[in-house]
Amino acid sequence: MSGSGAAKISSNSGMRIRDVTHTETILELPQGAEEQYAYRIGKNTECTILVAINSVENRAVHLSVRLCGSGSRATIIGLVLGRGTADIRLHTLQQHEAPDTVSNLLVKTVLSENAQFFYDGGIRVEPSAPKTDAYQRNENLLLSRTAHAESKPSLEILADDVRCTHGATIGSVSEEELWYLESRGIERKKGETLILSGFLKSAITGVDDRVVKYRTAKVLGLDV
Amino acid sequence: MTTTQPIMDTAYKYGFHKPENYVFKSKRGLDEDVVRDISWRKNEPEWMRDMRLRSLEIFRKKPLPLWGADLSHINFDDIYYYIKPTREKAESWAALPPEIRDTYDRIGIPEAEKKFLSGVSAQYESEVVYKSIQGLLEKKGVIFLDMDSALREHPDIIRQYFGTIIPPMDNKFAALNTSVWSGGSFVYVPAGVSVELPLQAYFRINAANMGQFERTLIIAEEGSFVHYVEGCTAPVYSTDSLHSAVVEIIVKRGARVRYTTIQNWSTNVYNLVTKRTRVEEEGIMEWVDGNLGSKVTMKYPSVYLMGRKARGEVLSIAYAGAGQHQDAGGKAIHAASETSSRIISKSISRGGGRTSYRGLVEVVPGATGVKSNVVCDALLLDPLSRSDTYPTMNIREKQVAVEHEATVSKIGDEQLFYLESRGIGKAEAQSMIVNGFIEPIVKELPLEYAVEMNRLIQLQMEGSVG
Repeated sequence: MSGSGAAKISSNSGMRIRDVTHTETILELPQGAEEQYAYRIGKNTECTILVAINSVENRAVHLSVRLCGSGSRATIIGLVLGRGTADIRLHTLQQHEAPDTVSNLLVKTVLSENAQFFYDGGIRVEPSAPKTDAYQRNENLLLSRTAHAESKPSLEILADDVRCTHGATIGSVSEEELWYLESRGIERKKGETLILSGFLKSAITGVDDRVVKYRTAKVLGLDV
Repeated sequence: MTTTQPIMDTAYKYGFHKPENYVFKSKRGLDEDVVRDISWRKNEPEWMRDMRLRSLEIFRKKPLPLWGADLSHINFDDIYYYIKPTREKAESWAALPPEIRDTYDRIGIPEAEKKFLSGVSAQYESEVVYKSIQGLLEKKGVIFLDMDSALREHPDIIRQYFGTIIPPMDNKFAALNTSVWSGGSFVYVPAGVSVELPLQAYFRINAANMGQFERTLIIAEEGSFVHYVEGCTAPVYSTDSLHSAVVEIIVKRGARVRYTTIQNWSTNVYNLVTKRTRVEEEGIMEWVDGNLGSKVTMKYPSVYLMGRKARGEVLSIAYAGAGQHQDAGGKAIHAASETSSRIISKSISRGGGRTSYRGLVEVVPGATGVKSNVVCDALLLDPLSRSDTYPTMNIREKQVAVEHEATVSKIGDEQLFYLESRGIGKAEAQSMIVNGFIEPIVKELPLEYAVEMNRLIQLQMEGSVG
């Protein structure tokens, strides 16, 4: 976690809630079997939260981001590499409580061998949050026939002057792309690696914090 | 300025109530005696009576669903489960009792009749009392009957397929329907036969607390085609009413079935419907589903794609005004390779109404080359309303392309401003935008329904600005 003097830790029913009051980029690298992260984004604050998981073991991560101050913005990026028999579960909540708030979530997953991934992501726009923009996207690449992905996004919109979208895709590396690379003399295995690293890297190209970007790439075994 | 005035309260077109005139009405509530009595009055074979009784047991054991809409206000003991309106089934329009004819006049059945639609079967209360089938259908070997007659005349086919697509164990309301079903349609299309005109059935509820439990079964043999249209309107009455239908469809190899529903129950009806299709190799199933009325609707038409290259489509429109919750959607289960599905949902919430999209796309292991596309768009017309999207994707195969997209928004200020700057009033501009929003689905409806739908939207937009 990249520290920030401005962040306060408060406690609420056992869960640690972090107040973000200054623009910052936060990196979470969940190590335990079950981890919970909760953020409250304050007025006119811009925040980027990155969660990176590269695991052969089971992980369950709960991430809640509440946009409490008007004009707050959150960018949430989740990158998951699941291998072996890993069972990875990611729950996210984008909760808009104040007007003129923006949240933008992107979760990208690559699953190989017998890995399983369950995504459960909610957007909730309270009546107190008009002029909200909320986006949520989950893209999953399956590399083996025995890998499994389940995506369960949900939208709950209680205000009217809003723009919310979510999207999810599940697919595999396309034969056409591989064939194209092969026809250029890049062998299949190498081609697949190229496509995968491009798939994951594109999620972090917009991250300004170079330290966070570098650490994320390292965790996922990508070169930067 | 938007107001919260619900259209259903101010201008519910079919909100009249005819005096009740029944030959037989079962006692309130549900027990073995009521079920036995229904079966006995219909003179059913023993296997059907046993199935009803078995289903009653299942209904009692199953809990109410813990997800979806609030169903806690349904009082199952305060419902009449079977009402038989007239002694004999009418052979012609003129032979119907005057007040039933009058009811139909108001919802416009004679017009449909005049237009020479292929068959009108109108359900007043629990049983189909009036029906006209074109000789054309009979010549082609197509069977189009109400379910009760079908059980008498074609018991073997019914026994072979009844409850195979939606068994009573499926859910609480499928069990309830199997136990007390009455009326509904049976359609059998022989191999290679294409039914050119849509088959229509009008349903109607007219007694306070009268549950309506139709049971529909459609079998399309290899290479056949049929379009079945179900339109519902119901008069307003004081206490909550329950409608719980089951629709089972079997699409055999290379056949295509389209099933269109316009549901416009009055806003005190619980509409809890199970609809499912089994689609075999290269078959196509299309659900076109419009939910405008009712207090609570829970309905997720499903396609089980069981054969290679089978295709399923669900097109759905939902409108929720004050006090309404439309919990609708679609399910596609890909159980074979190269199957494809498309689900398009459009919903509009207004005056405190709530629309929810709830859907499922599932790909079972071994089904490769599957394509699925789900698009949900929602319009929120005022700050009191609510829209939810709960799609689920459960993918257990690698070679697939599954996509889901959803958007929720209000009518854009720019769009309104543009139209207003062209001299169009705000109300008209709003209704133009809403009509444009649902147009991709409305254009799939038969003409008279499309006209009705556009009129309804216009009606709803009136008084919303001011």
